[in-house]
Order: sequence, then structure tokens, then C-alpha cells
Amino acid sequence: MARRKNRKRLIFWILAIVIIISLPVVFLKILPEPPLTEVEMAGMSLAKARDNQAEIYATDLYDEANQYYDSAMSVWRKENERFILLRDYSRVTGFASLSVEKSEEALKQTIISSADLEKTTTNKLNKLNELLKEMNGALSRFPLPEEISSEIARGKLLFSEAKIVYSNKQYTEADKMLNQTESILKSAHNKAFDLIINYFKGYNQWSQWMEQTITESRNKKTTAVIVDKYAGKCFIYKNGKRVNEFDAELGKKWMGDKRHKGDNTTPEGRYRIIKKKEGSATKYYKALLIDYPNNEDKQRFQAAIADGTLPRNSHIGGLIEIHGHGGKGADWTEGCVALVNSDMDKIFRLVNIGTPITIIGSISSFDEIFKN
Amino acid sequence: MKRKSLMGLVSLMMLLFLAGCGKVPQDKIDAAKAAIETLRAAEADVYVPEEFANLENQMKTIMASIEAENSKTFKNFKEQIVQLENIVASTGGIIENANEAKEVVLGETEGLFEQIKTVLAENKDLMAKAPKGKEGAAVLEEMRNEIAIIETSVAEAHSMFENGNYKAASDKVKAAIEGVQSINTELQEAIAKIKRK
Repeated sequence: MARRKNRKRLIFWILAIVIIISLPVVFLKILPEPPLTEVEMAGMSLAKARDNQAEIYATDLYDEANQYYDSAMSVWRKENERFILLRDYSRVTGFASLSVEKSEEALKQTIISSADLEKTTTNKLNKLNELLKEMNGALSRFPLPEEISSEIARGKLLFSEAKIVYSNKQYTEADKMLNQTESILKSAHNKAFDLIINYFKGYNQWSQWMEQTITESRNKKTTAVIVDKYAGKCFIYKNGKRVNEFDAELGKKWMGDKRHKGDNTTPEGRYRIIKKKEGSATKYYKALLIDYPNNEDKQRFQAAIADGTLPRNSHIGGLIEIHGHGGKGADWTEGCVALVNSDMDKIFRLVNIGTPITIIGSISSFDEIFKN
Repeated sequence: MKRKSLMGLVSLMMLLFLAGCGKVPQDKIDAAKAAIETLRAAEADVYVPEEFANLENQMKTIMASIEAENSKTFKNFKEQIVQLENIVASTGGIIENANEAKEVVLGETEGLFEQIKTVLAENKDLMAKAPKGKEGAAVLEEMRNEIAIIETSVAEAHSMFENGNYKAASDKVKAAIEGVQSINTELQEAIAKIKRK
């Protein structure tokens, strides 16, 4: 009886020890595996996306990836608060996988978008360079109103800034600046072209005047002078043939026909030399006074007064000359045509009182100047 | 007796179980998070972005490993505590590096402001020295407008600088210097031409 009792006790203890030893093993076996690998993977994918500037180039996808990562961590924390056997990490794994997926998408989009943006900004940069070349070229010859010049100056400055930002590989910022530059420069460009196109409406008239002047020189076998304001040139014709040309400087605001005293515009029309001045008769070395205002100028001036486009107290002006002291590298006169003194000597010898002087906007047409 | 022995065993198991339950080191986590915020306030994300991103990544990894440890029956956060302490400890060095990088940009930008001040003053001198009269006025009029626009841009750069946006201020001043120097050259050439005649 006692032996049986002892055997039972032994069996009990053996069973108890087996249970005690195996219980934690079983316990650990049935516990859910924490999703560390998945969450770490999500963290690494996010880091990779961020290192490649996905925050900038794929903002929405990157934000989504971040939100999924935060959700994974938050659900994981909540699951850990539950009783150990009731924990379920499947949602954590799900969020972590979604985060990886979105990070990878963000990375892909970043690679494509950044390459696209680099290409786009490079193209914009080149196009604006061309636009500026045009503005610095043919367009820069025209005296533009302050409003347009200021816009061009602002555009140029912003363009320089955009180039610096572009060279730092900050393409998003550079793109924004280039868009702004484009808008400013194009607006200035369009306004300038509207003015120039309007100015060139006088081209047929200029061509006629020029033709008449050359024909007169040919028929009467005399000398004639043609001033091309756009080219900044003074041409001498003898017997209808061009024999000389000089650089000329004009009124500060030469574009347009002279309307009144003080508008700093060089008049346009067919004139004649009425006086040759030298020595103490002029402060500009030598001068050829022309008959501005002629009858047409006077009629136009009176009409402008009558229709109110000029105030009643306006003066038509006068004393328009071809004179010396030129060569300043700018259009600086109040309406006269300035030549360098050595050219003034030459023209002075070639012309006489009564020699025709025709001043026109341009010998070249608008298309010839801006064909490119 | 049998029941007593069984109870004893279960109690021992429970004791072991409870003894293995470490607590999440919340104070260390909070300290590390606060350290990262301090770095952000010191603009480490702007001036030493790689170091900052590296630390943020480390923090993410530590937080994941804390949750992994927290998922276990027998928890031990010793390793994570050391890592969190390392985060806090590394903050000082990163702030120092950020400040150094900021000082470099600050110094460069201040230098650029000095440079533009000099060129602008030089331009003013040139304008004062320019021949008076119609021809001088015509040349100067063209430049004056551009200079005014550049001065406005420099003023904008100054406000950016005062708001601590040194990098943007620096780019703006660099562009302004380019513009002012080109005007300076034009001005010198134009004045020389006028004087020659």
C-alpha cells in the first residue's frame, strides 16, 4: 500500500516537473511573433525615400508611407497592452507592408520627378537665356519706357538668382523662380513688342521718304543725308548713291516722331539744312541746323493741341541739328543727331544749305530686324 | 500536501514571470525625443541634414526594437536604454556641428553683404564722378533704375537674413552682386567713353 502510494507520488512529481519545464516552451510557441522585421523594413524604406528627397518630389506618397509607419507602431503599442495570448500583430504587419509599398512608390516617383524637373528647369533656363539674348540684342536698341525697363531689370535679377539655386540642385525652388522670371520677362517682352510693332507702322512712310530723297539726289545730282534712327546711322548719298555712313547718337527717347519740346525725341520727316554753324556759333563743335518744324510737323502739332492729346501750353520745339560731340555710346541728345567730331568735319564738307536731310525710324523692316 | 506543492510551483512560475517583466523606459524615450526636438530647434535639419536624418532613423529603429522587446514575455530594455542614452549624448556634438555650419553660411552671407555694400558705394562714387550734362545724365538714367531694383532685392535679402534664412539670403545677394558688378563695369566704360570725347 505504501509502495503504491510512493509510486503515485513519484509519478505526480515527474508529471509536474515535465509540465513545469514544457509549459514555458509551449507558452512561447503559441505566442505571436512580434513584427520587428517588417517594421524595421518599413523604417529602412522610409529612410531611403527621405534620403532621395521624396519629401520634396513625392510629397503625398511619402506622407502616406509615414502615416502607415506611424499606424503600424501605434497598433503594435496597443497590441502589446493586451493580454499576451490575445495579441494579434497582423494589422501591424499590414501597415508596415503598406508603408514599404508607399515608400518604394515614393522613391520611384522621386527618381522620375527629380529627373523630369531637372530636365524641365534646364529647358526653361535655356529658353529664358534665349529670351534674354533677344532682349539684350535687337530689343535693347529701343528706348523703352521705365515701367518696361524695370520689369526687365527685375526679371534679369530673378533669373540670376534662379541660376544660383539651380546650380545648388534645388530644382523645385529653381523651377518656381524660373516660372516667375518667365512671367515677368514675357510680360515686358510683349509690352515692348507692342510698342515696337506700333512704331513700325510708319515703315511704309519711312520707305517712301527715303526713296524720294534718294531719287531727288539722283535726279538733281546732289548730296542727301538719311538718318536711320534704329540703326543709329547717318548715311550720305551723292547722285543717288550711298557714299558714306557715320555712327549717330539721337534723342534719349528717339522711338516715335517728335511731338513737342522736351520730349527728347528726334523728329521724323523730310527736312533741309538751313544753317551751317561752326566756331562760336555752336557749342557742339560744328552743327547743321535743319528746318524742324516743317509744315507737316506744325499741322500735326496743331491737330494734337486741337484734339487734346497735347496740352494747350505745349511748344513744338525747334533747334534740331546734326552736331558734333557724339561718340558717347548712348543716345543722349534732346532730339538732335550727334556725330563724332571727325565725322562732323566730313559731313560739313559734303553738305550745303538746302541739302535734304531725311530722318526715318528704320531702313530695315520689322521682319528683317526680328526675323529670328 | 499535493495541493500545497502545486500552488508553490505555480507561485514560483508567476514570480519568475513577473521578475522578467521590465518596464518600457518611457523617461528615456521622452528624453531622446526631446533631444531630437532640441536639434530641430537648433536647425540641425537644415545645416547638418545627414546627421539629423541619421539620428531620426536611429530613433525609429530603437522605438521598433522597444516594441519588439515589449512584445516578449521576459522583457529586458537594457540595450535600448543604452541606445536612447546615446541619442541624447550625441545631441551636443550635432548641435555643435550645426552651429559651425550655420556660422560658415552666416559668415559667407555677411561677407556677401559687405561685398555688395562696397560695390554699391563704388557705383554711387562713379555716378557722382560722372560728367554732368546731358550725355552723363543719359548714361546714368539707364543705370539708376537697375540699381534701385537691386537695392530693393538686397533689402529683401536683409530681412531674410534677419529672420535666420541665411541660405536664401545668400543666394539673393549673390545674384544682386552679379547685377551690380555688371552695372559697375558698364558705368566705368560709359564714363570713360564720355570723358575721352
